[in-house]
Amino acid sequence: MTASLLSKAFLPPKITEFERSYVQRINRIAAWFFAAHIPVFALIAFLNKTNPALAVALTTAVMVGPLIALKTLDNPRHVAIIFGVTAMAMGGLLVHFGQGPVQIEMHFYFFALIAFAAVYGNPAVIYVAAVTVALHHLLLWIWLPRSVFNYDASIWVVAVHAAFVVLESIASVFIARSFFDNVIGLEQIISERTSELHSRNRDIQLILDNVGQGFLTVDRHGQMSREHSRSVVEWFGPFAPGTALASYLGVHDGALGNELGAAWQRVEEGVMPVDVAVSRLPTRLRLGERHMEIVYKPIANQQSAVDRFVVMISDITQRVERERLEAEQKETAMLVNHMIGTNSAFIDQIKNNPALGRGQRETLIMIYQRFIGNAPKKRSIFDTSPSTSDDDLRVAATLNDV
Amino acid sequence: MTVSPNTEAAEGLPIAIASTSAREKRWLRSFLQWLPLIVWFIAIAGVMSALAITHWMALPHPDKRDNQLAAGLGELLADRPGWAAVHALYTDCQCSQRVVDHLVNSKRPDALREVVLLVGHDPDLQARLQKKGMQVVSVDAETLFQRFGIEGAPLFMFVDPKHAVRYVGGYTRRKQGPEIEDLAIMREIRGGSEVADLPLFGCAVSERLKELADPMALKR
Repeated sequence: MTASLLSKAFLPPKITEFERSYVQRINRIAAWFFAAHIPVFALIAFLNKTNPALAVALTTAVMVGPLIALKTLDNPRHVAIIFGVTAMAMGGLLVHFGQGPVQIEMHFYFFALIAFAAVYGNPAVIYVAAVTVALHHLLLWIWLPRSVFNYDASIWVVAVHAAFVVLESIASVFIARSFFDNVIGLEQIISERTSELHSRNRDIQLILDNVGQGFLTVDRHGQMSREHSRSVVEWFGPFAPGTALASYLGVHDGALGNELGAAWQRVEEGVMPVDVAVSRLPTRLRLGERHMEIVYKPIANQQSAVDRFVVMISDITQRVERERLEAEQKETAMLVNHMIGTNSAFIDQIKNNPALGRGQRETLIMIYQRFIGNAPKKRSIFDTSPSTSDDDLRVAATLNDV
Repeated sequence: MTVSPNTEAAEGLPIAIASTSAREKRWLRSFLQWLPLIVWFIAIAGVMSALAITHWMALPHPDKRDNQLAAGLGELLADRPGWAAVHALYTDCQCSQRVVDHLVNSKRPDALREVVLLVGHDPDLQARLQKKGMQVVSVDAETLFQRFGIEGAPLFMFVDPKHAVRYVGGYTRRKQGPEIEDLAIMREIRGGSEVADLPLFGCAVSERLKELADPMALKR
């Protein structure tokens, strides 16, 4: 709680280039603003008959401080603090040289300048200004002999002044800190957010670079966005955001390019539901000897309208090869089955052929069990019939008889 | 037998000395940068305080039971009986000039003797007061203090027909207060009420008070 309050009450020590430049500019403006007080105060003193020459001398003396600070201090925040002191000192001079019909109103200067200090976006400037006034009163308190001067007559006036100064200082500090956080410190905030975003992008890119699939996104017009996985470039060559997906893939598979270009028009036109239009997009691509599969996933925006698509491309060469082999095996099995007829006929031949001896029968049964099989686990890879058919059960019984 | 030196200590010591020296130099440089600003701050704080003394501190004035004041006023007003208002004013004081403007421009009560104890020389101001029917008595600061015990101005005193001092104090509740209350004070006292003394905001007149209220002689 205390740490949080302190972190809000004081600025972080690091000064960004933007803040440095901003505070230096405000310091220069403040220097001209306070320098202009010299002739103005002289005029006020002249009008109120309060010694214009003394006004010039004292106002110039007050201006010496910020001029020294501007020349010698490297940290613009420190110079700003000196301007906080200067503001209050100028207020003191104004109240003195403005003694006249509007002397009470001259006190408004203190409150106006404390509010002005908020433009620095630095609570410390306001603290120092308020403390300067308090210190000045304290000094007076210590200095003056109580035996001579009457404190009681005006102490409550000072207390009311102080209450308003404290109240305004709190509000000004809040505004100054908000100004710092949301305007002056914006560069810092953006830098932190950008860094965070870069970090997340790096993580995502790491995944995209190491995943075995091609990932990319396209807009509703079928044009590719910037994001893509490394596999896309490895498979299809240099990637140019803004290129039509159909053109990019069409370089390698002209037929697919044409088909995709034509099919994407239906997606773009939006005449039919997106899911239906997407289902009509081509999903197979030849890349030399390789077979690629394309999956399109529509992405809805915040208004629930589909305006982007994730395209996933997978190398399915092995799967296609396996599917081809499986198909060939099925065809062979069908052929063998056709050649040897049904299992019942084969077993009958083994059982009833008088030319076969017992050893031959056993050999044939072993071959049958090995390559065609009677139990579900021992079934032939050529056999595509259900494993628990009546035929199988009958064959198993016959084999037991043998 | 050879003893190998403690190389860590041997190498670390000069580094530590160099580090301390660099730190001291930085501190000294920083101090020298801030020194003129510290001097400036103390100086302007002093000046501001000096200027503000009479701004928010009420000046001392004699009490209405003060014998010196009663004797001085008794002597001043001995020639004529009746209610009397006595104004101690200082020509170099802004607050006094404001009171003069008020005295000249306001409708003064009937059957009231008004005497102005005027410190300083200002014939125009004196003429304006006399034209309004006020008795102007020129006094120097020392005499004002010696005879009446008064060190600051503007000070208002109200004396009843028996020459008893009924009021001694300022004209306003605040420094440069918007309302000068002498007429109201007199009305209330003459109506039989007691009135609390207002604080005296204004200028030091006596040398002693000037020394205290304006130690840097900025207003002299």
